[in-house]
Amino acid sequence: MSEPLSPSALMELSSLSGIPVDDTAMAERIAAGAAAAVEAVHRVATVCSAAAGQGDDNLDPWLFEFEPSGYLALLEQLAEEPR
Amino acid sequence: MDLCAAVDGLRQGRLRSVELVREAIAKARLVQLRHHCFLHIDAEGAMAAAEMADALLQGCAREGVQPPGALLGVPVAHKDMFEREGRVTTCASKVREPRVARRSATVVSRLDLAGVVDVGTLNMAEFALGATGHNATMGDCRNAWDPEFISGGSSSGSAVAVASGAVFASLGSDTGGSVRIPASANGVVGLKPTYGLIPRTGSMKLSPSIDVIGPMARSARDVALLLEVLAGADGLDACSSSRPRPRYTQEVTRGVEGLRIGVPRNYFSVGVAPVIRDAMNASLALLERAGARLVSLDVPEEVAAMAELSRAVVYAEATALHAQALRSRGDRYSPQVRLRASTGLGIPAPLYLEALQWRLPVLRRFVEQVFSRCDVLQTPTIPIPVPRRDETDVGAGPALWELLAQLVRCTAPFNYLGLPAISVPAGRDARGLPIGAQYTARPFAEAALLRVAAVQQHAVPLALPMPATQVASVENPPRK
Repeated sequence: MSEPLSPSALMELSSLSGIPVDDTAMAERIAAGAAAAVEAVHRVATVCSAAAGQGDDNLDPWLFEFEPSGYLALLEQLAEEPR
Repeated sequence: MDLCAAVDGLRQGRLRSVELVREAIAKARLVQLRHHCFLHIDAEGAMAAAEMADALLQGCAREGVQPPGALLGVPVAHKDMFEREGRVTTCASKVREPRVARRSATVVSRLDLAGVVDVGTLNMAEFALGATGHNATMGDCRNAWDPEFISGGSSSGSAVAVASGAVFASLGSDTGGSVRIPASANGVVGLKPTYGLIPRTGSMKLSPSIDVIGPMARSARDVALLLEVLAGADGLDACSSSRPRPRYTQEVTRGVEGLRIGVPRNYFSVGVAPVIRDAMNASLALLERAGARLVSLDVPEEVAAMAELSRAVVYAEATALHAQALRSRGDRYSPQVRLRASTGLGIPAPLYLEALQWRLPVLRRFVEQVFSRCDVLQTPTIPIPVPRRDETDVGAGPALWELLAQLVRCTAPFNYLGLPAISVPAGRDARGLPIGAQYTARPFAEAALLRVAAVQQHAVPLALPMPATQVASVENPPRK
């Protein structure tokens, strides 16, 4: 899957964005914190694609179905009518 | 006495708002000594508001009309992240320059219209970035039952102020468990509503794709009453829903006869401490006795990744929101909070967006698989006993990170999904610290959660009162 960002890569990103990272220790901590989250994106992609019987290369749902801004509408759609 | 009882007493003339508020301020000052849940106590303003409320109540009684406002004269306070016109909101931080708000948050305005008396502002994790109640800038908020243990966060002051009896109700915010974790750790009821049910206009943002505001109180019926006041689109928050809502105060009394309670066989039941598992089983048994039907089921496999998926979104959005302040005055953040606020640097933009994209199919799959088989799903709120403060503080060693992950393990997945979830007291452990059961349901099914919470709380009435403050003394001030 994915490797955590190296502290030096993190320092490059810090320089690029202008958001300061004090030292390698802080860069390592940020990289470690982010790594698990990044890994989770990979994991859910694998699990959900397999569950849906889709290949990893199936673009169609993303190109034609799922739209992040439709999230609230989906929540409303999945609700039951109030009594 | 809970919020509903206070409202009844005020309306029937048995109680006076000035008495309730005077008692609230006295308790607030006492609790503050050991638990540090307040940032500011506004005794003068609160007493003036209470006198006005009493005058209104008495005038209505003389005229034989119903008083305006469902919560007239009741003392409340909130974590300091909701704007109030004419006041500075600190977000429990010293990063921002003081800025007087020109408007009140929608939730504050709605509670004002309902007649509450605001007695001050409450402590919280700095910028709501933390699940333990530690705050290196403002001082740690400590557990209401024992100050050596964490209060939980980020709505730390809200839970402690309610549990200690200083206020009848409080607002929290919940982005990874920030209402439910402190509610569980302090033995009060805390609701994380469905994403979009309560508008967030004028409230501090942490992660707009996930943030919700939720009420905390001493009973399920209190939370139902608060929800009726707070819920519904305001025309300003683009992510608030205008779908019709039930009468929560009626629904909460319906009992659980015929309700199907899902009991997960995987993920949420794995790694649960025995004392917590016993409390969950006891809760299930009492719900079954009350007429609910238990359904054993598996939750979708991807739930195991959802807490982290939620963090991918939260970190990326939090870093974007704080970027300019991190550049210009990063030294004003406490070190841990600065680190958390900077973590989004390590999340590539396409992966952040992918985490948001996946939320739709994952939500659909979860609702279809789980809520086709049950109406309400039970999990622990926190799968481990409440940790000590020193176990979860900076420098606590490598076990710290695992402990922090455990705190949000059962709550954060429902933030990612946007589903409603409630934490309700479910007993106490051998140390006397509260245990919370979490119930979740399909979108906008808060009424079902309130029904379950009311039945459970009737059988396990643990939200009141508060042993720790009773032994507080001026001679024993809080340690920094």
